Amino acid sequence: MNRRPRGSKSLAALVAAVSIGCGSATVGVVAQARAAAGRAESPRDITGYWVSVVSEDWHWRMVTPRKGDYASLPLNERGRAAADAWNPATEKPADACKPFGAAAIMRVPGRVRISWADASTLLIETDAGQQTRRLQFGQLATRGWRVTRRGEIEWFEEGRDAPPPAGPVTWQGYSAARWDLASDPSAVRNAVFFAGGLGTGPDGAGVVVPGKYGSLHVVTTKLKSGYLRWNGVPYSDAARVTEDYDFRTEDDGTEWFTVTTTVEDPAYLAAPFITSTDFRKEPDGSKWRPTSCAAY
Amino acid sequence: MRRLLMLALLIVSAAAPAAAQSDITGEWAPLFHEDQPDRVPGIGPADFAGLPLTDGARQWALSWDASRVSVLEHQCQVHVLPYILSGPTRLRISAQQDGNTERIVAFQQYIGLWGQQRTIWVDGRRHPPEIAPHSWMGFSTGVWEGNTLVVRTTHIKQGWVRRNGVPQSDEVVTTERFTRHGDVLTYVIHIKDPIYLTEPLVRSRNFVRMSGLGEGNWIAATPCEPAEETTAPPHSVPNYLPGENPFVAEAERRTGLPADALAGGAETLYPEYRRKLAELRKGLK
Repeated sequence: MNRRPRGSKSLAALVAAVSIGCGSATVGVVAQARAAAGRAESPRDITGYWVSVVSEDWHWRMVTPRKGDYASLPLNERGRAAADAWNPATEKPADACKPFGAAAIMRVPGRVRISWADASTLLIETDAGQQTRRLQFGQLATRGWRVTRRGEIEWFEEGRDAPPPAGPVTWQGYSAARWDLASDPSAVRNAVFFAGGLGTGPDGAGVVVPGKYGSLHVVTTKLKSGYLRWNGVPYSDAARVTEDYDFRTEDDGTEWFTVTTTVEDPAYLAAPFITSTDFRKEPDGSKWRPTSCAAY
Repeated sequence: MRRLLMLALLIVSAAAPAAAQSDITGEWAPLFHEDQPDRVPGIGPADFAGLPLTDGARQWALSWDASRVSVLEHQCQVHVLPYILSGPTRLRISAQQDGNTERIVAFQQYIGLWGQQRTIWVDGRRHPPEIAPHSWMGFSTGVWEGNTLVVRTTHIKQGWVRRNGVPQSDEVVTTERFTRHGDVLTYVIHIKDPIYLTEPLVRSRNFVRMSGLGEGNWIAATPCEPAEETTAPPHSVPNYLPGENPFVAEAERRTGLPADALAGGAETLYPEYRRKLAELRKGLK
């Protein structure tokens, strides 16, 4: 009565073989994203110097726009009033870093240096304003797609986001990070049943590029209030910044990343403010020019 | 055993939905939180800041007269692929599946602006030969890099990369990336034009997922029928001769920026240009 049917046992073995054939018994067959130790899970080497390429919002990023120019920003009434009240003449030295907070720093023209402080802490330093962002891995819940034992695909969430530690608000706040990793589907198709089959077009060209890919997902809170734009357009200390970094190599060999940034601020924004900013990797740090907020 | 293998094949097929690594299908609305003046009202003539132009492209753009869009031959010209997804358009993406294998062989994109339709082939086919006809949307093939659909497009007709006359040649090649982050679709395009750009022009835009079918949010495509709109002589081409474009000085007054910055060029894209710009602006005061 309790004997397992032969076919079922063999099927389980086959499914297990698929998993193993993908290169990792723990990863499974289909896309799986998980919070990770950071450096060990990084799908590629992202360290080094990167320059922001200012081909967007040039008139708002390269110069200080006139007072009251908040076109494209989804401000609420309070946000507009605060922007209209901006007076650069009354700014204090302590306000100099307001445009360099985490909600806006990636839009500031400049260079960033990315490095690992340790296995679970990624540093993003900026030469403009000399800011340092510390991205802590292992603090966000694990989410992603996985295959069940029955071969079904399911969305899963494991754990809960850890609350930010106690302490004062700062320009860069507290950033929790995880890798949202994608599976390598070509391994699924090519390694076991379909060598050269699925994922291969009629003329032999592949439609899935093998490799390890994923987004760096970052959530930042505990921010000191600052500016979204040089001309005093504000964000408050209740702001929450969500970022997704996507790294890539173009066919000319240049390396890039685009960071999609969502700023939510119940105090000054009527809707999430979403931008995406492009950086290209530089061969070295020869153009790195640390400049204080006040001198920038 | 044969039945067992068939079953296993079915499971794997279900687990690998034809390279749809991330579901980008559905209806998407553009956000204009970036480059809004450029993308919605238009940035104004003779302003090329932030574009890596060649000298030839700059000369072309300075000779361009906005009245050209009223010329009979140009009235029905649509935004070409390197620009169109920057425009005020909704985007519908659907998957085209092989009826026998259920594999996705292409993604169809319906672009509300001028009712443009494009096909992104993901079945591994090659691009046509160089002499094949060009079109507004070009010929596109896609591959998946993880959860990102990477699309390469060739065979695009001559058009523009900014709506104030900055040209794009028919030798342009674009690489687009569609990456979904929750309900946000991040769209990045690398534009390589050996004729008019000294280095790739990179733009990134964001779309948000529209709930429901989006009925009422679409403007029905209307066929364009050219008609005489000007009193200019037939077949004349509105233009400015070198040094005679009145909007060069007007752009300086409007923006408060020096001609050097408005002339564009790769130098204007990089952070160090801020310092040069500050010096140039001192000269204006």
